Amino acid sequence: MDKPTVCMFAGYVSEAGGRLIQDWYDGLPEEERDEVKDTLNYLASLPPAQWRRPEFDKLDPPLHEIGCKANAKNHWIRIYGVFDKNQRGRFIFLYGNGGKKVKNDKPGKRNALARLSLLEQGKARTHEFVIEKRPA
Amino acid sequence: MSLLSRNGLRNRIRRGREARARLVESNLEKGIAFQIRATRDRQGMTQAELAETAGMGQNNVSRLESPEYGKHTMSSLKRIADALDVALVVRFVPWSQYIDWLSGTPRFDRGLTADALAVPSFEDEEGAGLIEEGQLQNLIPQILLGVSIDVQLSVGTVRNNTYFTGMPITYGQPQPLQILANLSGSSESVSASLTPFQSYIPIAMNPTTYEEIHARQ
Repeated sequence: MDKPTVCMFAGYVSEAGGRLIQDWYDGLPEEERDEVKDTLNYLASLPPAQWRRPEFDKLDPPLHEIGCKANAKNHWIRIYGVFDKNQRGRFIFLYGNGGKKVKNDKPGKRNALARLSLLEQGKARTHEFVIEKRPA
Repeated sequence: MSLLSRNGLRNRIRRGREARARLVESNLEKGIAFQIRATRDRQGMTQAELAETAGMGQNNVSRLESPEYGKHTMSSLKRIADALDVALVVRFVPWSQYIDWLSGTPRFDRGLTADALAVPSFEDEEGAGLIEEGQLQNLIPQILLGVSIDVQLSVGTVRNNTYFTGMPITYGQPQPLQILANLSGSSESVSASLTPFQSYIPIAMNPTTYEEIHARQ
């Protein structure tokens, strides 16, 4: 049988039930979504301890960044998130940014931390992130 | 297990030549970078140690380990392979094989053949239906069960309608086609799924003629 991936990805669900990161990801241009998909595919094949820059970066604790270059647009796509404290090998996406000229995305990081706080208070949830939509 | 499905990749390469080129570029660069890093980690080597063994600067190794680099040379890859004591394969492959590999779909590899050298293009493969259907998708249960394949092709109905005309049949224990039929719920679908692989059967599956089948019964 297939081996499971060594890391799973989850997305933030707001108090109102919005799958905010999933919606952001689904709304990316196709070629940018493909780049993110390829990057996550490689990351999921390695234990997180082996994740490295440039596609993975440790920010101010507990935040991390997963990123990839969108070659067609020549800019970075960033997803801020944290490792799930309750489930080893599960990374939770909190905020995504595909902005073209974002060097130091302070608002994005603040937003991610605010969402993390809501998660920790039990006011928000997570869901299994859908990397690739299955045919209906 | 890959996060990418064969269906998703199939749709992706059907978007056009540019999308196919992007798929290769993205996965080639990420693949090389991740492989060098992971193999080096596995061997407990630092970048500096790998660089020294490969006879290159640490900056070079660092660049090769970046998925953004994209300017690898055969020479540097051969040096890295030698330093890590692993084999290096650089070859052109058909798209069907590529998406099978990326999606983790099992596939028959017949090694060095005329087809492996004169690689069919996307259009050739699309025309032959090889992009649509995974080469061995319908044999996965057999492969997973580790059952040795012992298939004979019948050329007509054998005995009391037990077998369909042209359907592959089996003898001995275990009977992989029976297992496949049970798993798929349909003997006919098993027959249909094996038909594209008849060309492999003489090589891998011990064919016998109709007369031989009768003689054994």
